[in-house]
Amino acid sequence: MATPLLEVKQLQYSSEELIDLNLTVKKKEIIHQVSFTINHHEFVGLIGPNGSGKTTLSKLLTKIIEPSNGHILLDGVDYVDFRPSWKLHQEVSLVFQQVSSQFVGTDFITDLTLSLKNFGWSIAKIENRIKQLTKQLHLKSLIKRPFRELSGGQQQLLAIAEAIAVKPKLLILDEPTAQLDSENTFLVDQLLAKIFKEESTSILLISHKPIELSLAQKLLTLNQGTLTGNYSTNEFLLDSSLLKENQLIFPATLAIRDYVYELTKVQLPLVDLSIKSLIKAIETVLC
Amino acid sequence: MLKISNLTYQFSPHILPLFPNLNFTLRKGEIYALLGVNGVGKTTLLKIISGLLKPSQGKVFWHDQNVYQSKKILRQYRTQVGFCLQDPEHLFFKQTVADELKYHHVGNIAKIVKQFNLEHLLNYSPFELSGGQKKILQLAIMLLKNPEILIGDEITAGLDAKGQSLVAKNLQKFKKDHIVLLVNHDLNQVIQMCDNFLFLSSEKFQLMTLTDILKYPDIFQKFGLIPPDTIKIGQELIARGILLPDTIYSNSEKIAQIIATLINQKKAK
Repeated sequence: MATPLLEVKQLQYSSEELIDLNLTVKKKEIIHQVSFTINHHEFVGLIGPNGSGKTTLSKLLTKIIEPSNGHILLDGVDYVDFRPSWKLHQEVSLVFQQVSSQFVGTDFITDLTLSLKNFGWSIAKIENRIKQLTKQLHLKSLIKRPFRELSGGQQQLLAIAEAIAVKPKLLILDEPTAQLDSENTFLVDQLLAKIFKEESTSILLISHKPIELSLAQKLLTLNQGTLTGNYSTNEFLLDSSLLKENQLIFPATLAIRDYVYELTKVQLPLVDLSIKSLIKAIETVLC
Repeated sequence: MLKISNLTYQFSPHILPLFPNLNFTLRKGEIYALLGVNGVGKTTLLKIISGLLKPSQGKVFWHDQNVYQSKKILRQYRTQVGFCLQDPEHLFFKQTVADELKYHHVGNIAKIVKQFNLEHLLNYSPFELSGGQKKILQLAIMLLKNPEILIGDEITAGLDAKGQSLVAKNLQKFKKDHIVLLVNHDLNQVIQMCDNFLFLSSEKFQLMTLTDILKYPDIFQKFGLIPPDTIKIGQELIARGILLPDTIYSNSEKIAQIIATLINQKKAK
């Protein structure tokens, strides 16, 4: 069998807090024995209620923090044996929930140039990549403006652009559209679909939004630091009780299907969560 | 009553004003949503209204007094405004959630702890909470301070379903004696939670009630916004002649009821 892109084995993480000057520490286990794999060119969604450890897990996967126990392997190589170790941050790229923590420079061009230089890219190669990205993502109007002048949503679009810029093998997105309006959410989701179609990158998407999660091929559920399920996307997203159990925002299409069932015992045959599918189902049942 | 009069803002004299001259009034007992595409200046407007940023032109009246009239008046006004930031971490500085709450409120915090389900988090550092938990804590702190005007910038973004309904429930209660103004990108949630809607773009401004927008759902497209799902579904079904035009379909339940009636009629035939 081919080696998976990412293999997470029995991962465990405890945070430590210094209590006093005698160096007493309080330990709290946040991630318990988590194991899963992500294959090459696979789109995986990660779901979990607030405080379930999603962000901690994404920090572990990007080696921002180190596990207390267990292993993470990228292409069969353990994170701790990865050489040169900085290369890992190019192979696995993260978009944070808080965009402001992502940028170092004052604007997109400065910030991205700085980060790509750190990865040893030549100026010509960097300029080329920026040009290409700007065109692909329609960001021309934003790239020269200082971050502080941009709205939270505009900053998030740039953060995603930067994460893609290094051509990572695994792109991790921690609720990338939580701060965005529906228009930009739509743009980002379209972009993610496009990236997945055109590039060989695998994607791990953390989200509470069912519509966005429908981009994924499989879904993992995390609850109180434990992996509780592994589902095919449509099986999960059309199952009301699973959505409720995992505290997902309930989509209007599904709510309507469920109310109609309650009132008539007729099941509207939805194939996915889209409005189109609902309208078609209603027409089928009524005609 | 909070009155905004002839207000606008320019980052610098060389750049065009962010929005047209604004005139509107906010009243107690209502939840207002400020809507507009990213970058239109929603956060800037919230800052001006909350006394953090002086407008380039125009006035903000609270109880008929211009709040930017003098430093003293402005200081006094700021104590009556609770501002929930997009990034709540800027608010925290204590070691535990309990200390954080106690710092902002002399007296009993038990009630608010219960209201927001914070019991199991009291001994945690506010900085080790998850993104969603931080948002909930911030709102709890703000409600403890009992401000006359509560302003929230994306207070439900990133919250799970439980967190969202917790926030909605508490705001419904709080709005009775207060003004609540929210920026929230999730329009599906906005139409469930808010009573009035301030649509903002760089050229125009419009204040509408919930009934208004259900009657004129095109308003969303006019301001460059994608309408909430229930409105889109309603429009699609009207276009196909399944639902009657000129009827108000405010939520999923109402739409489902009509579909159910139609199905039952068909069954009876």
